[in-house]
Amino acid sequence: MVIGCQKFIIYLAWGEKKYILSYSHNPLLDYWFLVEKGFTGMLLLTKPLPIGYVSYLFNNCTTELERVGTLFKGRSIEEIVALKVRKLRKHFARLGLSKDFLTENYLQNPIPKPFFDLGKIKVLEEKLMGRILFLNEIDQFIKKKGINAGENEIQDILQILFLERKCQRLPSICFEKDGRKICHRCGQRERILSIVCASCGLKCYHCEECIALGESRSCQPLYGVPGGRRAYKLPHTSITPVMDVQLSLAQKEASAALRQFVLQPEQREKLVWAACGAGKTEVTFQAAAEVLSRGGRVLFAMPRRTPLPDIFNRLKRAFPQVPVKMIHGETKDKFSHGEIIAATTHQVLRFYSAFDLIILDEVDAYPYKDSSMLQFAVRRARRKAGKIIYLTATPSGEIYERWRKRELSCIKIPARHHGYPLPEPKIVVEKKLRRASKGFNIPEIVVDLIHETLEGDLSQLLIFVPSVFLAIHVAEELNRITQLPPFNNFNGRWVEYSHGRDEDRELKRERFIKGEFPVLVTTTLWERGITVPRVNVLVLFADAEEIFDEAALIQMAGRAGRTSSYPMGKVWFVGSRVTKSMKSARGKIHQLNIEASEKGFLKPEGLQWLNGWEDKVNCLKNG
Amino acid sequence: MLEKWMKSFVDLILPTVAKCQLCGRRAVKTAEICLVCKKELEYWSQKYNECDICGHFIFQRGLCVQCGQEKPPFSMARAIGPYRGVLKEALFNLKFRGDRKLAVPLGRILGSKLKSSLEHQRIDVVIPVPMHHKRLKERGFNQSILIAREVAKEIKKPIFENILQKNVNTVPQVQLSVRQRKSNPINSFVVKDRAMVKGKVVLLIDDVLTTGTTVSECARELLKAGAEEVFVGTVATGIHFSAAGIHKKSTSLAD
Repeated sequence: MVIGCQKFIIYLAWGEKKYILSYSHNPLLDYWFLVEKGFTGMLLLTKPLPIGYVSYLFNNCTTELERVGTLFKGRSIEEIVALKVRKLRKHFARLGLSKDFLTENYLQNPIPKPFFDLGKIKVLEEKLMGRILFLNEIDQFIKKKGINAGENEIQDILQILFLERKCQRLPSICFEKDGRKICHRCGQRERILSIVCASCGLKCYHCEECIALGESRSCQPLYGVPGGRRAYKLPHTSITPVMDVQLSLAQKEASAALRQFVLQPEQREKLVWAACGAGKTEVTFQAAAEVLSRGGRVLFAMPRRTPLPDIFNRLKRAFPQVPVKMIHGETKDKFSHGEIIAATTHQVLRFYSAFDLIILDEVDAYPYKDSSMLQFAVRRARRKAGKIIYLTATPSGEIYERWRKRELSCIKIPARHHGYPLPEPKIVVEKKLRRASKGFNIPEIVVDLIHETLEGDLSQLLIFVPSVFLAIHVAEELNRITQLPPFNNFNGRWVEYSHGRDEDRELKRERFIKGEFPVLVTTTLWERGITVPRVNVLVLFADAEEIFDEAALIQMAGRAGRTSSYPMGKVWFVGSRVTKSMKSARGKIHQLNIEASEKGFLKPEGLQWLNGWEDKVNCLKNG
Repeated sequence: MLEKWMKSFVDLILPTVAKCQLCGRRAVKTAEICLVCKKELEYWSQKYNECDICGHFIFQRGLCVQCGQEKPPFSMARAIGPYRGVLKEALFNLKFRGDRKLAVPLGRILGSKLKSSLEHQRIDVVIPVPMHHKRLKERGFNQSILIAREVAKEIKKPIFENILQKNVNTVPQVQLSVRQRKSNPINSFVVKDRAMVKGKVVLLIDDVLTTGTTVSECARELLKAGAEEVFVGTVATGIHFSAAGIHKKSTSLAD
């Protein structure tokens, strides 16, 4: 294992006319690089210090011109050294470092030029393209790729890449002038804590925001290599996506619009607002193919891991001739290379201007919605002229505001592929429903609804509840109730529960989709990315506004009626009162249905069903 | 400055949402850990017994098989729970992801557990299990020290951090089989200042106790140096699956 901490020395180098200031872990290396450019002498100004401190000192004690090399302008080298030492001394005091770290050490009789394997440098550069990684991550990464290099060798190679300006070197946590700190891995300033670090032996800081991806510590350098070749203007290979199913009329329209968007240079971002289950992923395939055929790279990112394998398989089927890779928290090979990458938004933090097209699924889902870290990551992963497509069923927050202000253009797909409208939720008000820890009862009306689903519609039922605790208790209570009349012939465990910390959640999902048990009680965990052929949806405690916001309610309602075998699923929101988000969720679903019928995307039988359902909904609301 | 004041002022009026310190999910108001974590931690000690000596979770009462065959050098070891579920997750995040603040709740819970299950009045000093300096450089911190500091605060006893030292950089126990683990840490610990531990009752703190070899080796070394007695506190411990009726899952809270 490599020690992530790397120490650097600030130096001053000069030639006949020019001088330059820079920092390096091994100034000899820089010396030989600079000698080739006509520099003759070098003076080390500090002892080895962690990169966080060094970059602060360097940024505050040097001007921009000095960093790239500037003329003497009549000053002697001694004057410049004296000035720099004075400045360094001042900032040393500000950082609380002891003055022992200051030196004036002239580099005399340097050892012969070190030898470097140019092939290795090139290979490493190619492999690291489009990534931003810590030293220990790079070490892991290249070991997986089968390149043999010691710790010092990696550091030297990275330094050479830096000197050739092929790679960016940043401190993980940078001290800013006003005393604040910023984490360069996740771009956040808020949750940076001071820690005692045994690696560098000095006061250190780490970022709590991105700690789940490994510690970002102020003594670790980050190396970012911008991503490779640029996409060509004209296609050089022809790639057409293989579609499993025929696109519907609405999808075809949207697909053509997206293709147009990718080809034009002005607009950078686009929103796709599709009904739940309208097949928004397939719509982007044509646009992705356009980018791929021009030699670009495509990223499919989504906030959660659960729908990822499904998307990955679809992508593999659609693009058989292109390498597709999936990356999430538990994949072993996190650094594999692919033209198309399907990843969770957290993993995008390790990419650095790598993609020509980013397709961001479920923009409004937790945790992407409120996380400026993930938004920063996605923006950083995009190449300079790259494009972003946002996909969502429920635009909300920032994206919705931008759409309303017409900063972001939008493509709508209001209807599902089977031509039936979206099931509109019935709102059921039940005053007896309370969230109390003791004496919890399932109201009779809920039992009736379950009975109707299981024995009337002969379909399965998804019950959503707001918390893990409730999921367990509602499931236990229902297990007891289903053994009593009016349910008949029930034996065994028919109600299962699943939540975020359930280890068997994948297994339970598969079993539920296969139809091995009829009722699944779950938290918002399964609000997205589960498709059950024949299912009704019941949201219990739908009045819990802090968890069931409008987006969540629309998503949960969107679980019903997704397949053509049972397109008329039912949805109920059960709560002790009617909240704003319940109303607006119902309103938005209704609006999409109307839009779909106006555009003529619905089949006649679907339209008929919509009209009939409306009467029923109104009737229930009044009653 | 003004920003800081404003922030504290806003916090006063609109308190930030309480988060469970172990799992990071929402907790009830000011509670340290959330309901689900709490239940999970209680679950094991309610359902199963702890071995009288090594604290492994077993089905029967009394001693576990291992302690029955050969008594360990320490007199008693206790842990919060088995190395599963929340504890496993928290320890993983602490050790390998460097989430140092997790040591605080773990240390506090361990401290209160030791208060109730050991004769903590007799303890003179808390000593964490050390780490080799090379590994310390790699990781940047020693999780046992962080936990031990909190435990020492909780039971109000002094802590000696540098008395026990590790001189041989052994292979991590995790990478070895059970048989290899037994001989791996032998003779790798040294007591630096014998006079400091002479005649004292020591509480040794580590993160996980599986076979107990590391802890036993430390305890032996401390006893050699003249310590009167050694107690052990660890965050997590092992379970004996051989015992009948023990489920392999920790999340089966329902029954």
